[in-house]
Amino acid sequence: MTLAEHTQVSLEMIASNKLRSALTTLGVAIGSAAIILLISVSQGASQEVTHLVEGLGSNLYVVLPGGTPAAALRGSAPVSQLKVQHAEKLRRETSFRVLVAPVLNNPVTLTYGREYKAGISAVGTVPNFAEVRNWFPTQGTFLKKSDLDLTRRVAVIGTTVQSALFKWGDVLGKDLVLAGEKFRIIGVMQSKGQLFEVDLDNQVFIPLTTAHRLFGTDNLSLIFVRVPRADDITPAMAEAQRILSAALPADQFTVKSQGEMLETVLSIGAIFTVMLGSIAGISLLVGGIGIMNIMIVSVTERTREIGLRKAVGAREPDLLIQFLSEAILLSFLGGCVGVALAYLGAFSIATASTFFAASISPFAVALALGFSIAVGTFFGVYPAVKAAHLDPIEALRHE
Amino acid sequence: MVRVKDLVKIYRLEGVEVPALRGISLTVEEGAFIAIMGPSGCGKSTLLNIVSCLDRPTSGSVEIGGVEVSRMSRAELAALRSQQVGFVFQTFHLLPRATALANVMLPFLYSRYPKERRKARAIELLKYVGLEDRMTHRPNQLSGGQQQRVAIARALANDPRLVLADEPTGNLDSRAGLEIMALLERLNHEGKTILLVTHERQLAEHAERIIYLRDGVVLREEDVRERRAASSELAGAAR
Repeated sequence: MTLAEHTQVSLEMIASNKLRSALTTLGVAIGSAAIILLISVSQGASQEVTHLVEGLGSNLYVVLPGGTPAAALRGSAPVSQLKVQHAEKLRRETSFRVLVAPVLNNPVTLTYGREYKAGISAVGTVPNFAEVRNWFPTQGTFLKKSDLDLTRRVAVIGTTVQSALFKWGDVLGKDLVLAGEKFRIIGVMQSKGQLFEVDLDNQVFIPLTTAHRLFGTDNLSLIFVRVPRADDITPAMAEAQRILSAALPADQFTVKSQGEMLETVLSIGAIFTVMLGSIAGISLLVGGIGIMNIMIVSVTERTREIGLRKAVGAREPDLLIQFLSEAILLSFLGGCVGVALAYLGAFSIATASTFFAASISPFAVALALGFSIAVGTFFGVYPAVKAAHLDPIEALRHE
Repeated sequence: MVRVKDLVKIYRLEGVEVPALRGISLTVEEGAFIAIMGPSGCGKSTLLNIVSCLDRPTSGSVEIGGVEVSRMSRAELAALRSQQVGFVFQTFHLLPRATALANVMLPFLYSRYPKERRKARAIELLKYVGLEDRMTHRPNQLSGGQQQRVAIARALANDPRLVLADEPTGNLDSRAGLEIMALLERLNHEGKTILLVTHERQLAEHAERIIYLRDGVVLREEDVRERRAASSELAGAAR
């Protein structure tokens, strides 16, 4: 028998029991889809990091209060010892031509007329911030030095805030209520989209001095520092470490590059990887057992047929290959369905999350199909051997 | 065609030895039509299984077409079955989901029959058994007699010299049974060696010789003096 003949016989068998075949392949389908999504996640995440590091500039570092960088990034730093004077000290004493932007984050609720929006991050900062982050308003202006000097109640809003509070019309010059006080909108920031599920456009920027008064603190959430060239980043960070050590205990601050910080945040993504990996492994195992089970049932159902095939001249390898190729084909079809599921899944999730790469790599597809074939082979061997070793006389007599 | 000498087959059931054949010797000449008769448990099926190369004897020798087969490997036996032996079963054993044509073509999967001639050969065989207008029918769309004729066409696929028929009319009414017997007679007339296993004396009388088995030995052999001819019986019934 040729491979083409084996494949044809197997396909006929699979087609003759469509529902059963479809249900059998489901486990492998889910497993294969999980493998593809798993690879998409890790590839998407690493692409995301590369993209962000490039976008933010690799010549940026941050000073975080003691505690974990991830917590600091979310604006929920523990009791911070970081103050404006530390930012000043750093700016004065460093030998690099740095731009420094101290920041205080605080969650607030905004109100405009009858519209309100909670869970907005109020960012108290300085005029330098725009240049340091390379992030500028598309309408109006960013905060000015005079805004800080006079502790003005002015705000630059993100696009998410804008669309939540204002249905139409010009927003510049409008007054909104922030933490019980009236703030005048002087600018709207360029949209940045999401960074690891955090909406960067859901922020409102106010003068740092105003923020300190409003929230009754003189602490900082973090300090952004921009050095002239990417090559300067390592020596500049070492220097910053030295300068700040003179003013703060070593466990009260951390100096991190933008890349390091993103990698820390990325470790959150590892949870998804482990979860999807487990789903993939368990689905493939259960799917494989399902295929083995159905193949054993099939061998029993077709005992007479096996006997007849032997009677008309089929040798043991013929039957072995026939049943094995049927199991492999079943599993492979499951793999193909899994690829389709993965495309569907990745497409729909990619629109909602930055963790997923929108495109699926051919490598991921090849790996998933390879796994499905391996599963079919592994779990198909036992039923196939069983079929091949049936005694033809007993098999023909089987009821 | 078939030469059996001192054939012994002992089954071992739960540690107890059960002899099924206890020293059988017989010869079937090329082109003969032989019937094997006997009560159930006499060893007919066991003998047929060994002659058809599905089973191997405990001792004794079996020659098929001049080749000693009793010590052959399973793969060699399979090749022999494919080339030398055609099977006709009481219960037809057709593949239920395959068409008549596909059923006839099944043995080609396991033989070296030239690919491009397979379909033409199967069509020719279905014509031979009178089913040229039933080629795309599945077994459940055919009558019992038609199913058995498909099975006979299948048995002839690789042009074997020996056709083994195990109660071929057991599941058929008398008219369809006669048609099957007429077909076997015709095959025999064209040179095939036929071995028919039956428990009906009437059917056995279509053969030229009847071999009676009892308790695993040959009780007696008897030449049929007044052979019945299914073809003329059918003609007579039609008149």
